[in-house]
Amino acid sequence: MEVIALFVAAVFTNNFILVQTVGICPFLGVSKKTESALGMGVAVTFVMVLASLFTYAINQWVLVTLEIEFMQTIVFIFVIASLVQMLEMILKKVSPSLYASLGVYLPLITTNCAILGIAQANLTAVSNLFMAVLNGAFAGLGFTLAIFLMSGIREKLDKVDVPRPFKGFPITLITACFMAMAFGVFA
Amino acid sequence: MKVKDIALDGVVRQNPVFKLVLGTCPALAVSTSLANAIGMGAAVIFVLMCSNILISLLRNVIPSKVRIPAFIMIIATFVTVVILVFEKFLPDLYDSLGMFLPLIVVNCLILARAEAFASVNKVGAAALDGLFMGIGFTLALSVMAFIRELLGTGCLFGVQLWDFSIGIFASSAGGFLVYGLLIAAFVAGSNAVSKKQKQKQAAAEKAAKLQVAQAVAASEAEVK
Amino acid sequence: MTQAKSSFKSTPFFAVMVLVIIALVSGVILSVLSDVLYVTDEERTNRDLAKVYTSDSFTAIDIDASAVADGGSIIYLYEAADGAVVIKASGAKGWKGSAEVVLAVKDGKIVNAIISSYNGDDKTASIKTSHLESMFVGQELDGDLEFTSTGVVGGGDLITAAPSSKYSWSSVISGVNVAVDYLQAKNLTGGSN
Repeated sequence: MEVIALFVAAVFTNNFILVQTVGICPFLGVSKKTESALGMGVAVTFVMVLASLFTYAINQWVLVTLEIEFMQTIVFIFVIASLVQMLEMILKKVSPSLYASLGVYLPLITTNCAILGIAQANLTAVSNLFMAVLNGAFAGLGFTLAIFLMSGIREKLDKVDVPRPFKGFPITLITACFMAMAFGVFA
Repeated sequence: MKVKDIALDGVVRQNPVFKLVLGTCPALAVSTSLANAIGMGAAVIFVLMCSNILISLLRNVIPSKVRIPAFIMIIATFVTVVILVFEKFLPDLYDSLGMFLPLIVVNCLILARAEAFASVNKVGAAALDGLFMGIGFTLALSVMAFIRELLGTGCLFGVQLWDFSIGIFASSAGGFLVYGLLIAAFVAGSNAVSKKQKQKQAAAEKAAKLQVAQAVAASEAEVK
Repeated sequence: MTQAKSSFKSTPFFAVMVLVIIALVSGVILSVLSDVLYVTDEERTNRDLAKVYTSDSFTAIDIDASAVADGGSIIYLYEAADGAVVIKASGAKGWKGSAEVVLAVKDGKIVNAIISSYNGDDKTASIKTSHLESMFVGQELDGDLEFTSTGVVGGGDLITAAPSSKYSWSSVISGVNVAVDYLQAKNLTGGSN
């Protein structure tokens, strides 16, 4: 079934973070604690679903119809930026603690390569709006899975003595290497 | 700011990829081949310079509240220019960089420089910052690509040099590994350099103090 | 004077105006550039041809629609200066869309195969050309050459196809089969002139 294949691809074999290597900034920056990692994952999934919906629709019915596909990059990023702005306002009201713990990384979702990535991937990977939204949801799930796993590992790593040059990014990246190898097995 | 400072910052001291850890997505994805790395680097230098210049020119016009959306739109415009030019004149590069060309828009590096430097500095300095940060980015990516292409496929620029290859380097896992090791090496290297600088400074201070003490002793002797 | 100026600049109206102006200016610049830098279909075809086979000239050959396999389509058919044949075909849709493949055939053997576009997207660099080479290049069109997802029928040794999540291998094979079928049906084997 097409949906299952889409699910497996988005979450495992084409995992945005570990296989396609997009969305790395929040992956490195927000994966220290599991709660904020999960919060970021949910936020990103939310934005991905909405972004998939709006960018696919706008591309299909506006950009292609008017033959202005070259405006794609600008229009997509505008849509994503607006969605993130909206998300910020919602989070501030609904969950101020999550808003505070995500900090500067919340507006940075706008520059999360994975959001623009899924918007673009939808144009060629799926054939209708519903599948595009599904793809967005699955990609978000894959992102959340990767960042969640990483946060679990990092919380343990914090208790281990790491040589000085490796502290912080290097050890996280090397961990990501092993995670990527594990996910790569599915490819 | 002096040209030398801007240059050193961009390429070494504040290297965007190894020190500031910005632009990580293309660093991992595009460093599988040296040709791709240099192509992406060229694109980033162009966008970075153009957006820095324009944003610096408009820095007193763009209101602070909408500066991020304004910056992003300006960056997106230049990225689209690059995409159009590449598709027409460099189709192979366009093909192999694939979806990462439009992703230059969300390259944290470009937005970060716009926000941190271009919007608060004059055009000349902004242009130079764009140039040297871009060069730093390109060099970093090239180093990664050199290692990954050579060890991962035994080729350089697509030319087969030898048969030996460790496939892992060409995959995303290898990218993470090489990037992590290079940051560690960079940190270790800059720690060593700053340690040496501190030692030099301490020695110089000691020598200066000695000189002062000798001068004081000499003048005291004279008085006596 | 300066007082009035700075308060105008801090109004939300001015802020929105700035954004709108930026959007309009960039829209104008980009629409001009996209016209100037437009890549025509002919140019795309030429690029494919150059990629797949080197020849000074290519002459188009008419396509007989009745000989094309069901569910497939032949997009173009050219003959190179030295008699080799280049054909672009697409077959059945795989789970993620359909591939358009270009084959170069000379003296009854496939000499080159590329995927020209996948699902309308011509950024195909992520598709490993080594798979295409090992599977298709060197196979002889002896009248009943056909590819399946597990190997080659009526041809050389069985080669296992490489499954991928980025594209549908079966749609690639289907496209190649459509091309190979047509060439065998029309007895176009790219013999020397």
